[in-house]
Amino acid sequence: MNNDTNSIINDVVTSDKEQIENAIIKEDKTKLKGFFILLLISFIGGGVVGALMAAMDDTNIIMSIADAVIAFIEGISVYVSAVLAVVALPVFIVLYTKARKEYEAWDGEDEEQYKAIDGKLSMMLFISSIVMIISYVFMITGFGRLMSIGKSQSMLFWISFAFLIGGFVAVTVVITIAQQKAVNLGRAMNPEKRGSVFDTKFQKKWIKSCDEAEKKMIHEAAFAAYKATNTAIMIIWFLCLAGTIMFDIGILPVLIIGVIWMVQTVAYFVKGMQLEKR
Amino acid sequence: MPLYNRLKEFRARIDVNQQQMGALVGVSRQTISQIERGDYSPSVTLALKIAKVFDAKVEDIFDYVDDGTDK
Repeated sequence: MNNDTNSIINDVVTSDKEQIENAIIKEDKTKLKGFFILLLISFIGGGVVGALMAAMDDTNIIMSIADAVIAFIEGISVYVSAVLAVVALPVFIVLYTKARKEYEAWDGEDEEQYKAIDGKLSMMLFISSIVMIISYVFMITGFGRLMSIGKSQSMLFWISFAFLIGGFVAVTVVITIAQQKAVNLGRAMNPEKRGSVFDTKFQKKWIKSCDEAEKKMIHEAAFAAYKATNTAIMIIWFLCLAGTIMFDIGILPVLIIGVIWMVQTVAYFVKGMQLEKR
Repeated sequence: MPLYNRLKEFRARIDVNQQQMGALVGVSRQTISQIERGDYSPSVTLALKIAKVFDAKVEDIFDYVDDGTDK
């Protein structure tokens, strides 16, 4: 064995539990000061922001802005899905047509060509997911709008209803076909992949057909999503606090955020503990 | 990346493309491509499977050189 290897082995042998714990405590002590300063800044900053919010609340500026935003969202809600279907369709057609053309010309090995095609297919799936989330959200706000219109205004109610339901059906059809086309072309490029988008077990079959490198990518992307969601939850929690103080939004929003936060955290830790036991 | 390989060279000797190589060892064409470009280090199991295809040793195909980038 060379000198470097012997040195590493000697370091491991001589480090006992007390030395390891002392090193950990020493690191904690060096970071503690910065942690307390950050806490102090957060408390002071929170107090300043809270005071500003209270002052602005006195002038009803925030309430006016909030009312205007809510009115706008409610006003457009019933039309959003229909507009999304009309806007997304040509985008998907362009992306898929280009990807298809490049796939026909692909020699089966050129990595740059593969990446170009895969990039377009990934973009199709990304856009379809974003469109789906937006349409789902505005489906609910749209129903809220319908309730506020009421059947007493029957003409407006039924026109809005038609736009809302028809638009939702149309956008669902558009994104389903886009996803099916993208997945099928992806499968043609990667014949070992399994799963039809119409199969309820699609995700399970797709993951099972992924190899070690692909699973590594999926796991890294999933962890990035977990971290981003954690940050988003903290921000939304803070907004719920501000909303409760200033607008009396009720407890439902923070309860929903709490449920999502709890599910994410429990799922992460349960899986982690299961993996450790293997 | 400290892991170097001669997978492309070995593949050419038996005249298989990346797709075929992937099918032989149970991974995708893309993974074979990533390994050849040094963008992915295969697991021990996969490295052994690859070596078995060529009836060679893992060390004949893969070589580790500590260039200081592997932390």
